[in-house]
Amino acid sequence: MLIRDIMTVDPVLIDPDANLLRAAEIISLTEVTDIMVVGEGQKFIGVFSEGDILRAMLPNVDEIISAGGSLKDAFDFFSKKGQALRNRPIAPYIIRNAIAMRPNDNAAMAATAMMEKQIRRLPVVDGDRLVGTISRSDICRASVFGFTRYQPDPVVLEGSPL
Amino acid sequence: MAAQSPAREALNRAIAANKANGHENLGALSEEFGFIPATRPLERLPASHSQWDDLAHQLPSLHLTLGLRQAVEKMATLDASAGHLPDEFLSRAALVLSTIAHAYWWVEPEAPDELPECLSKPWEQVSARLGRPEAFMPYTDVFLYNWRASKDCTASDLKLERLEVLVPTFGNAAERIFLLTQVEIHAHCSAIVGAVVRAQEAVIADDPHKLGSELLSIVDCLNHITNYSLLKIDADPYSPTYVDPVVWSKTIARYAVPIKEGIQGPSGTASPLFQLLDIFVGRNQFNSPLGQAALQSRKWLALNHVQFLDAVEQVSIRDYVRECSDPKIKGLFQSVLEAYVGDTGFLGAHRLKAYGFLETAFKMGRTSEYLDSHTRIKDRGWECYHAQLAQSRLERLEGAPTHCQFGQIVSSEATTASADDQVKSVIINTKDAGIRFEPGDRVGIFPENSPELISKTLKALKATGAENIRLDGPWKSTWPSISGNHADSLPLADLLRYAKICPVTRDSVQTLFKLTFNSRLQTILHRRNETQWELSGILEMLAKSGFDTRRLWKSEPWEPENICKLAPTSMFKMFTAASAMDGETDDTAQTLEITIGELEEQAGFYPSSTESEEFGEASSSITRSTWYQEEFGMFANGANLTLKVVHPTRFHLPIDAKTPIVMFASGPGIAPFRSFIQARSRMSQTGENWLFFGANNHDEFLYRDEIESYVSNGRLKFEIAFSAENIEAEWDNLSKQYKLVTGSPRFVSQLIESETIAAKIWDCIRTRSEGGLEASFYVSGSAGFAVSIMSALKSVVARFSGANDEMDAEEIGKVTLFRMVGAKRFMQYVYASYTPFDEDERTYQVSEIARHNSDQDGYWTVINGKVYDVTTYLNLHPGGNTILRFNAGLDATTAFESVQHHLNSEINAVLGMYQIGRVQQLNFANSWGVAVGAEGLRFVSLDSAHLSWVQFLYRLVEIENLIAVDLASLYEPLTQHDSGQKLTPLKLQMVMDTHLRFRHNCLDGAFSQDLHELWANSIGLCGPQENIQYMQADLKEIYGNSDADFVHKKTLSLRDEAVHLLSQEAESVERNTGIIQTILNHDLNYLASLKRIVSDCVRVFETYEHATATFGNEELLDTIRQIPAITKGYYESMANDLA
Repeated sequence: MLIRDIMTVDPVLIDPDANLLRAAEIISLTEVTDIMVVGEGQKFIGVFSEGDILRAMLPNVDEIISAGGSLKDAFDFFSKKGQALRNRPIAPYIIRNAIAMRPNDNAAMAATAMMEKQIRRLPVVDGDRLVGTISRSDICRASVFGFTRYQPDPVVLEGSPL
Repeated sequence: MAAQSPAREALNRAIAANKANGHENLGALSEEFGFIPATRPLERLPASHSQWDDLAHQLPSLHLTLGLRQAVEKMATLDASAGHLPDEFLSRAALVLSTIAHAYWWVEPEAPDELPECLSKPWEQVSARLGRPEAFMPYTDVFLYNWRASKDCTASDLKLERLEVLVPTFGNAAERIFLLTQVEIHAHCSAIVGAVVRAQEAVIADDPHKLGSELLSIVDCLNHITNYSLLKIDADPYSPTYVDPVVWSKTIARYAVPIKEGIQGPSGTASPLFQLLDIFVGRNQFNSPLGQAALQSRKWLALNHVQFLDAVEQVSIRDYVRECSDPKIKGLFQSVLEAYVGDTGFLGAHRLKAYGFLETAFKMGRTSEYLDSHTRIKDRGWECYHAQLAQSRLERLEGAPTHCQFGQIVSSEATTASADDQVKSVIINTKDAGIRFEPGDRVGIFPENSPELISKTLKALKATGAENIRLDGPWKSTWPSISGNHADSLPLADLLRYAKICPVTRDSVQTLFKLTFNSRLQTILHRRNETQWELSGILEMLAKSGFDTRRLWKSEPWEPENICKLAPTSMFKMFTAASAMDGETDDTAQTLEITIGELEEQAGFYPSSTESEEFGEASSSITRSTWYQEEFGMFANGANLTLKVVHPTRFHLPIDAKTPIVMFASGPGIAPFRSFIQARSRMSQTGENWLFFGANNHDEFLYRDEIESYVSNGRLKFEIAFSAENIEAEWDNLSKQYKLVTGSPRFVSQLIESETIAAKIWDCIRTRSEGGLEASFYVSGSAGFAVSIMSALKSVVARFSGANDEMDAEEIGKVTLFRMVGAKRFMQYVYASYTPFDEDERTYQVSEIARHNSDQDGYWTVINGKVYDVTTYLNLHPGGNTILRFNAGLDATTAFESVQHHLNSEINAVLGMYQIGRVQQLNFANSWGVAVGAEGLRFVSLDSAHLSWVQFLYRLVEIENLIAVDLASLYEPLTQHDSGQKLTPLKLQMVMDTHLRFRHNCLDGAFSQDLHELWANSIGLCGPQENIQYMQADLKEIYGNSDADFVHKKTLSLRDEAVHLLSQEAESVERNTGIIQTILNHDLNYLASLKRIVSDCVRVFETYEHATATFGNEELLDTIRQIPAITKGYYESMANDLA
């Protein structure tokens, strides 16, 4: 089972210059947890994950102590911090050395990487261009139900040996 | 009359008790001798017990032949009860019995079940009579009661050179120097006992002045033992007091291990002296394993010592100093702490020294636990132990009063008439600092940024400076050492004053790059050009592309972009003292002079304009004038400075003032020599002071008046060379001045080699026994200058050596220089000169680097990505060549940083002399694959696969180094009667240990897991068709086959038979020597083949980089497949040869 046969070919995208508010919006509207950051001409830049917003919001010990020290203070801090972050650019949170798949890789490789690195969705990259994404559900659907939702479109894979 | 202080009372009681008893069985203690016995250690037991003396006397030869256990077992069981052995012989009996007991226990690879009764019974009797909880080997016996000196020696005469060991176990040089240096240290520190008692009295009487002078005398004692005594335990083979770390590890180190669990051994923590110092500095933390050991060991001390320590502990000096209002007392207490615990203090120097010895001991010490699977080399036990040493050292500083030593600038003047004042003399008032310094000492000054720089940075931050900044952890912990106070927050402007913002740190640029991914920052990082940027310049550049710089001070201290992180605290800048204290009249320094100038740029920061040209914005990058403005700005008249005096371990005047000194300086490098000459000119009679000075032109004739006045009153012989002007200096006797006359430009090195001077230099180089003057030589200047002086001296030696051919002469020159370094007669103060990033710098692959770990291929090492060729440095390394050999052909960053070498700018400067390039960075482009692991499928990146091959290769190199060092010591004399020429039974046994250690680290399953994982990773990336079990299954079969089994049994029996070899014919010893040679050859061949294969695997990655899996797959797998075959071949051929 190859990635190109089962991947999602119209991934959710975001611009590298966007801010966290924009990212949060996209994530809540699309319900996709890992969104692809691409530059001009579909050039793949990295992945932005909702986990990173949460991680940025969770207070560390110093922050909790400074906020008062109680669990309640920590929770309050958490909500306040989320708002404080909204205008920050996503740039520092972009995972730039993302684990990526190639269209001709085997789906088992993607599954291994996803389980080991706790990732829900991986970019599929051909050269330096993003051509799709592969998610846990894409693999489940394809392997358990035995069908693929999207037929691979040769136009999308322009420049690949296909 | 007031009551006596507790310490005085305890001391008097001990002295009275020892006097009444007529012996010091309750513990030696006196003002004159400290913890050293006041009466000489006995050299004989009574005739009734001479059997023990006789056996002890034979220990060295019994070791040689391995006849020791037999000889001990033949002894009669003597009665050591009061009726048979008088009290005054107990200390001697305890020393002799514990030495024999430990020798009996450790002489053979396998420890016995128990000691024979003829030994254990009397040892227990003697120990019980001495009031000891059990029979053990106390530090006070084996070190402090184990020496002989002529009758007329006072405590201060008890030096290594005048002492002999009474009961040596081996009788080798390492043992003698190691043991007796500790006697010397304790003898020299005997004055500390009295000083501590008087300090307590001063505190009780609330007399800070009296306390001050006691603190001073303790500092002096500690500095002396650190800089003179401790250095005698020297791993440099050319030192007259060379302690071979390998011999040390194989003999003494092992024998000091307690023979039972839970028993105190004779380690330094067990010395009452260090217990006393711990109490005196107020140590109250004992959480580290060594701290625990120190606490435990107090229970094992003699009664007098316990009572004395308890009495000293009753009054806290630390608390008194904390409350004391006199800054001088605080300063002096700080000096005691520095001298004892500081980086260049006793424990700091000890830690540095211990590292090399510990690594050797862990790698080749003869402990039977060696064959335990937990003690493989890869577990790096010595690093763990070393970390414990460091931890324990720092515990002593916990809770110590914070204090800073401050000085004020009295004057700051240009040193030449030239308008271009690049060199200045700065005089600092240190009256209240409570500091002392010796000629040659380094002076640390905490730098402060100028108001201009601060306001420029504030502007870039869009701030006023009044913003209150909460400090992060590092700032909070460093602030007291800058200001003497604790603070949780600071106004932004104050923070910027002490922050490292010019140039910006690499870490800060990296953080900002991660936040912005600005491409210019990437270029700066790539070219390592950050040293040419100020923080403000970087921020302005980022602001233009939309970055809000206010985030730096609005963010919280733990956020990465916080100002505390991006502007960390500066570090002390080091200068050298250019003046000397007046030893006659000053107890602490009134003033201190330093010379500042271009050469003091030790951080490797040398601005150039390339960067600004590149970006077309000169304003944002640092110019040369900004640098000087900053550098000199902080030395404005009246400015307050935070100071720190650091004593370098290898840059001081000779103890004997009659020794002539020869000094070579270039530019501001003259600074330390001004202090040398000043100090020596205050002494009534000294040897000659001869100074060579290198300047570019007449403007750089620094301190001309001062030099002329020394020359005219005969205290200085002076030579100067101008390298860039057609002049020479001529002494005019009438005007008592130098006249500059027309001449040819020269370098100091050429001056040295000139006809008349070379002959005189040769006199100074030769030792007194060779009919020379045996002068001390000093070099102070840039790395390039130091190299030129060294080679000029070598060529002088070569010229006069009388050698027949050039090769010999060159060799003699080299060795003579090594000997001078070894005898601490050649000392250097070298500054770094900045080398900008070089695109064309040579790069080296790991597979190439790994090859350079032998005499044939030279010795290379990698530190922080840079490659160094240390072949010529091997014998110049103050820590000896063993440690460098251990780290050759591999990445030594961890070892280098473990001893804090990376924080020492002088060490970095010396290192710079040997750099040949950097390690080639490979591009794996995030390639990855899936491998089969223990849990099923797992992720493996090409990068990590490469790294695991490199690590494996480095491990092989490390083992190869270990064996090379081990075998090189084969013909070193291990015991007194060992000529070193022939293999003795003891050595045969040790060589077999070497072989077994090799097998333990390389074969018999040692690598099974590693090779299995390497195979698994490799097929995950390159060979989806291959079977995961191939490597492990093959190796398992080989390790278990009949050849391996035979080899295993045969080698063990050879080692155990070594005991009986003595009784056999010479012919059979020879035959066994031959067998051992064969075994070692097989070992070395196997290791070489394995290294070649692994190196080839690494090279596949180096060749194909990110395409390794696509194009290098076949090559990689084919190479790995050779491993089982050579392993099988090893056992096969070995079995053949042994059969």
